[in-house]
Parts: sequence; structure tokens; C-alpha cells
Amino acid sequence: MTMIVQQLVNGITQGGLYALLAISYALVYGVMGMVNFSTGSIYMLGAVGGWLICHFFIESFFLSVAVGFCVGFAVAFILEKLAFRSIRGASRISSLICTIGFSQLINELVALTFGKATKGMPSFFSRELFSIAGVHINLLQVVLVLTVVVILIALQILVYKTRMGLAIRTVSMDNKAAGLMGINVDQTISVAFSLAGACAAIAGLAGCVYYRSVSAYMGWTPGIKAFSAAVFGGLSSMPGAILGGYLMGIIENFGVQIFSTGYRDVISFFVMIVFLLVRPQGLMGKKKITKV
Amino acid sequence: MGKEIIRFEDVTVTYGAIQALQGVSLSVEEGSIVALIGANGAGKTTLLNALTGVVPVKSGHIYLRDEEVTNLKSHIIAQKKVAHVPEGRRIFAELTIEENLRIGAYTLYKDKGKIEELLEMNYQLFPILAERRKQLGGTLSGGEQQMLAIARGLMSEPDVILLDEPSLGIAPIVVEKIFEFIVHINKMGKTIFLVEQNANLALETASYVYVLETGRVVNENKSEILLQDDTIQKVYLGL
Repeated sequence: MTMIVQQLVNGITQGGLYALLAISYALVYGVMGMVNFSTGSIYMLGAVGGWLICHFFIESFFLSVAVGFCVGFAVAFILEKLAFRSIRGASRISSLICTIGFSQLINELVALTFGKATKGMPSFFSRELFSIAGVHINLLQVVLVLTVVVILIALQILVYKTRMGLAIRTVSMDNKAAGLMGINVDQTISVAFSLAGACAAIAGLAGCVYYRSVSAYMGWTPGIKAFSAAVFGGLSSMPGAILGGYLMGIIENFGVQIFSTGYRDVISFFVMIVFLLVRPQGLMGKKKITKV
Repeated sequence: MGKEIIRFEDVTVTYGAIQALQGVSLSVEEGSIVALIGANGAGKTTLLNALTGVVPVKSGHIYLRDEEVTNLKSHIIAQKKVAHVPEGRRIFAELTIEENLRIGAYTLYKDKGKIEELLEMNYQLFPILAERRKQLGGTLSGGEQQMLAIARGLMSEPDVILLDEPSLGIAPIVVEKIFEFIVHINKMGKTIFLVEQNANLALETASYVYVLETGRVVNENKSEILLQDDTIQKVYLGL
């Protein structure tokens, strides 16, 4: 029982990171119909941004989150303007390769300047908050969970209650018709893409604080795992991405408990493969019916 | 002759090596119903798309109320009180009818009172939409979807409505109804530019008609004159 609750707590903490990343995939997939495999690299950039602040400036968690947000937003904004705008409407395979290429480029540029070695992150909120019947919860977990929840709620409000959100949802449904309704499609895609980048970067910052390490290649595995979480929840659905992210975190932690830590990555990919085979639209996604 | 609200001057549009429009010139008078007829692939849809920035214009000029709008983005044209009801209707299938209508009023987003007023007006105009306001757009029949698409266009309070094949894939009895609506909307003071494969309907409804063949205007005149034209009768009306 203790184990179950403990793994649930760990799963929710980690799942929050996947949820942020998965929503990043879902936002981009929604407005551009493209899977952005540079999401993991933006995750890493968020972490590196936070590390730089803590190392050279001040060891502050919340300032690092803010910096992570800005880094992710800015990098994604530039990437979209420079690269992805011109390949919009190109075949899926070329946009896929383009995002993987940029991912490699970013990773290697960081490896060159930042170094390939893993660097330590200061520990924040490491004080144990409480421990009931052998279940340990520290302040960091609470802070991380709350940070993620606040961002997810803010994002939901933005997408479902504001004019920009209406534009994002409309462009996701039909970008040509959206333009005819008076929606600035280019600007909407740019904002959605940048927001997705900001989410990924905050996830990266939270991840590096949680695992207390930063490296140039840290984004690859979480990036791919969050992609499976997004597929799991339904790539075209934002609530689905959140659900998929949390479930993935929980499943992974229970899986580790049942099998062993070595199987951690196997579990999430197994889930993705099963879903791609059995229910490719994910838990909450809708099957796209294309009428001819 | 009233004021021209839309004017095409020698407009050319190409898709790769294919010339979809080859120097088209035409104009639409304010407050009128003007139709563009022609066979499949003549370039009718392309012509509307060129006006609303969906496809790029290669050469020539398009004017809206004497202002050049060639190659402006779709959303900028939409802000100039032009509603384009696209081919195939492009209803947002996963949204309710009311949500579809509200998106139509995107350009008036801040004016909540106006939006409610327009909603009410559209529900009065199309009672079937009022009955089903909570229903998803995708569950409507073709004819109802066409009404929704027209109503969605009206939600932006346009001066001009561009209708692309409003009769396509719709039962003849419903088509008649839709064309009654079109005439009614015109009487409300909206200019209507109608693209239609069904020449009969177009000639009955519009006051002035252009005939498009392989990207060129090959004939144009008042509809009552075109109705007497031998070629039109043979090729388009099957008489």
C-alpha cells in the first residue's frame, strides 16, 4: 500500500513534466499538423537557461521558471519564423526530418558551448514536507506539481476563454476557413508554436530541478517519451495530452516498481506501440474523417 | 450603372505550369447579384480564392471599393467586410451551430452586443439553425450546412458575400430554398457574387452573368440577354 501511494506521488510529479511536453506536441500538431521532434531540445534549452541563472546569477527556482519560459518562447518563435513557416504545407516526411534536424543542431550547439558533461543543478525545496505511513513527500514535489498545474490551468484558460485561444482552436480545425473568418493564421500559428516551446522549456527546467542534473543531450528521452504520452492521450487533443502525460508518468513509475528501473524507458514505448496499433487516435483524440 | 464594389483587372493565377486564370477582367456592381458560371475546372473557385487571398495572384490587379487588394492575406480581406462562403462549406464539424456562428463574428469579437444581435437576426432568418443551435455542425444535412455557412458569413456583417457553389451536392428542393435566401439577403442590401455550375439557377437569380471557360471570361451580359443566347442555351442550359 505504501509503495502504491509512493509510486503514485512520484508518477504524478513526473507525469506533470510529460503533460507539459505532451501539450507542447499537441499544440503544434493542432495548428500545423506537424509533429515537432525538436520539442526535446527546447526542453533541454529551458533546463540550460535555468542552470545559467542559478550558476551565474541567483539560485532561484521561480526566476529559473520565468527564464525557462522566455527561452522556450523565444527559441520556438525564431524556429517557426526561420524554418517551419517555409515548410508549412510540405509533405509530412520533410517537416518531420526538418524538426529532427533542428533538434540535432540545437543539441550539438549546446554541447559545443555548454559542454557535453552533465552538470549539477542546485537542490531546491529539498526539505521533506511530511511523511505518512512511510510515504515521503518533499516540498519540491509539491512545488513542481503545483507549478505544472498552474501552467496547465493558465493554458486552458488561454485556449478556451480568450480570443487568441479561439483563433488557435479554429486554425487547428481548418486553417483556410479560419483565414476567411478574419483570423490571422500566420500570427496564430506563431503564438501557438511559441507557447508550445515555452511549455517544453518549463518542463525541462522542472525536469532538471527534479533530477538535479543538466546536460546537452537530456532532452532526447523525455522528448520521445512525451511524444508517446501525447499519442497515448490523443495527439490532436489538449485535454488528451494532459491525461496522457499524467497516466504515462504513473504507469512508468508503477512499471519500475513491478519490473525494475532498467525497464523504465521500455514501458512508455510499449504503451505507445500498443496504442498506435490498437487505438491510433489515442484516448481522447478523434478519428479524422476526411470526406472527399 | 451603380458603383463597382469588386473589380478584377487582367488577373492571372497559375498552379505550377497550369494557368487557372488567364487574364480575367470583371466587375461586380454594389447591391447587385452577379454570377459567374462555367464548367468544372474553368477556374471559378480559383477566382474567388484569388480575391480572398487563398491563392496568390501572379499578375493583374484586384480592387475592392477602388482600393487595391491584390494578394492581401485572407484575414485582411475578411476585415474589409467581405464574407467568403467557401466551396464545400467548410463548417467546423466538431463545434455546435452557435459556436460556428460566433466564429463567423470573429472580426467583431469585442462588440458582444452586436454579436448577440446578429445571432438573433440569423436565427430569425434561418429558423432551422435556431432549433438546432446546440447541435454539432457535422450532424447537419448538406442543405442545412449550406445555410449555416451562409449564416456564418453574415455574422461578420459583410457588405459583399461571395458564394462558392451553394447548390453543390444539395437536394433540388433545398437548393430552391437556399436561392430564395440568397435573393432575400440581397434585398437586405448585401452585394452577392455567386459562383455556380448550375447555369439555370445562376441566370434566374443574378442580374448580370459572366461565363468562364478554361480561365477566361468568354461571355458576359445581363442574364435576360444571356438566356436568349444560342451557345449558352446549348452548352450550359441543355436546351
